[in-house]
Amino acid sequence: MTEQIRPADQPDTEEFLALVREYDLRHRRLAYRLLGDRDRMDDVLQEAYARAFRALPRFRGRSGLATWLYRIVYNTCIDELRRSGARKEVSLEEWRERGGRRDDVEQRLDLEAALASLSPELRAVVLLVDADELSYEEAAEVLGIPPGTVASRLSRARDTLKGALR
Amino acid sequence: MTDLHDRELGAALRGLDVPEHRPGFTPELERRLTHRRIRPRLWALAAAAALAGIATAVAVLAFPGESNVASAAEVRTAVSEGMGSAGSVSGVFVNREQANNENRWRFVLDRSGSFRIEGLGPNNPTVLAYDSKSNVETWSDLGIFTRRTGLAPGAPDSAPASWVVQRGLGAVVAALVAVPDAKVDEITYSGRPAWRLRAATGNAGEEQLITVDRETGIPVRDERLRDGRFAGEWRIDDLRVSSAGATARFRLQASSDQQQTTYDMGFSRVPLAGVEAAAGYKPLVPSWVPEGYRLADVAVAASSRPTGNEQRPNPASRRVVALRYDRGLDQLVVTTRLTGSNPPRWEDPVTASSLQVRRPESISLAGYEGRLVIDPNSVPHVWGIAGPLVVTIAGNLSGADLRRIAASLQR
Repeated sequence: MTEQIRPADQPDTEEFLALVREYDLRHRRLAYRLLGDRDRMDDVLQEAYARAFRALPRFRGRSGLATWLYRIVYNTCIDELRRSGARKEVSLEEWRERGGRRDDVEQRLDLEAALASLSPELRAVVLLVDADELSYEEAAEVLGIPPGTVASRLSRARDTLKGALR
Repeated sequence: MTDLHDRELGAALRGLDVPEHRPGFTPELERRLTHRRIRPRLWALAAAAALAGIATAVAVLAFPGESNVASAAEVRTAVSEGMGSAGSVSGVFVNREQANNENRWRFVLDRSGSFRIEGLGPNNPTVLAYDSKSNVETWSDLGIFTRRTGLAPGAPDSAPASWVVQRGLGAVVAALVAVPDAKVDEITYSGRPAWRLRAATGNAGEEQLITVDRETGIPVRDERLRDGRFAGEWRIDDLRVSSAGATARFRLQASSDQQQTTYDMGFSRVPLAGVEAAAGYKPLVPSWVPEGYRLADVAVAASSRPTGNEQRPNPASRRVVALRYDRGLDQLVVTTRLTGSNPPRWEDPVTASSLQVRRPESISLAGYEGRLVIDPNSVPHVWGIAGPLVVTIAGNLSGADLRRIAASLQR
């Protein structure tokens, strides 16, 4: 499906929307977990997809198209966090005091709370590698960091999240 | 990096709720895309112009005129001498994969093995330093501060994480060894005389252009072309080479708001005479190394992390002995470890990925069969099973040098 888009050409809107639909779930997962709010998630994804559409003719295929699109989504989320000054992580205690978002399964609540307690950078790396099963190299490309940094951030994120699964 | 994915955690994360888009999301997006359709056309023109420029450059490079330029072997010798005589090298590594996608790191390397690498720009907050005297690596990344002690001297064990150095300089030097048939041009690069080597990498449709500064012998640019088009580059800006050692701070201090973690990788420095007592066996030591190399470190670990391909790691490494020889910025590392109960289970410990474009060559390794791997995707190396030991020899050396070292190993 991704092979159908020839980047040097003027992109076709329908083809691009099909590409977006294919990867939309993981983009929503990342954006929602980074921003914590559905409206902000949607605003950022609108902006990210529009940026990607504009930049598509410059895509050169060094990384996969999916990885490239993921990177734009991530960068747009980080831009939004910087713009709004909303990079503050929520502590586990604070999340519980707020009541969090209730779920039937206590473990899921704990995991959401633990995820929310991580910095956006740590949240992103564990979502990319463990939830979406990107390789370290792919995650490094999305996040714009060396694979070794992926490994160190992942280790830190897992340490926190595994506690919520016990 | 052996546990690539945490399946249990991944499943749990995927099980968390993800909200659907608000009503009207897709029509809203469609309107935005349609409204802006005129702009991609402008980008396409700009991209085409850039590609035309690169294509012109490639066409010129593809048909160099006859001249008395250096041979590839002479360039490799110059690089070897440059790396071997430098006391320190500094500059800015630049990695560019696409026209506007550039990562930059300021770096300084010292002949003692110490280095400091600092990400530049708002999306590159990593600072990494390694102090060879104390064998401590410190790593600051946003709110995280990591300290690693007891590091191995080099591949294939947990050595200082010089990822940027390896990708930016080490891989280029390795590629120079691996491409015997490179074409050489004399060019001017950043206002200085330089050689440019051009060779196929072995990957389909891919070529590599390596630029070497003639005065210092340091590789300053590694450009890859795919199907004749720019596919990415590593380069060094603001190169400075000194015969003296570096004076940078090679040990970082954590700030009070950072979470701190320390890992001990398990290696201890010992004198060569103390290896047998520490490891439980006599080490294999080369009786010949290339001129100028000297034994710089001997390290022993009771166990070390599994080596080899991330997807199919080797058995756990036990009773590891590592000998590091250095010459300027170059190094050569010889390691041995116990095979354990299932020697055939071992695969190449040095190559971390399955990507390999050239077939290993069978050679003599301390009286056993070894495999010589000269491939642009990894550091040149030899590995093999020698009785109860797995042996590796890795360094940016020619095949002839590696063969001779392998044959010279003795207890």
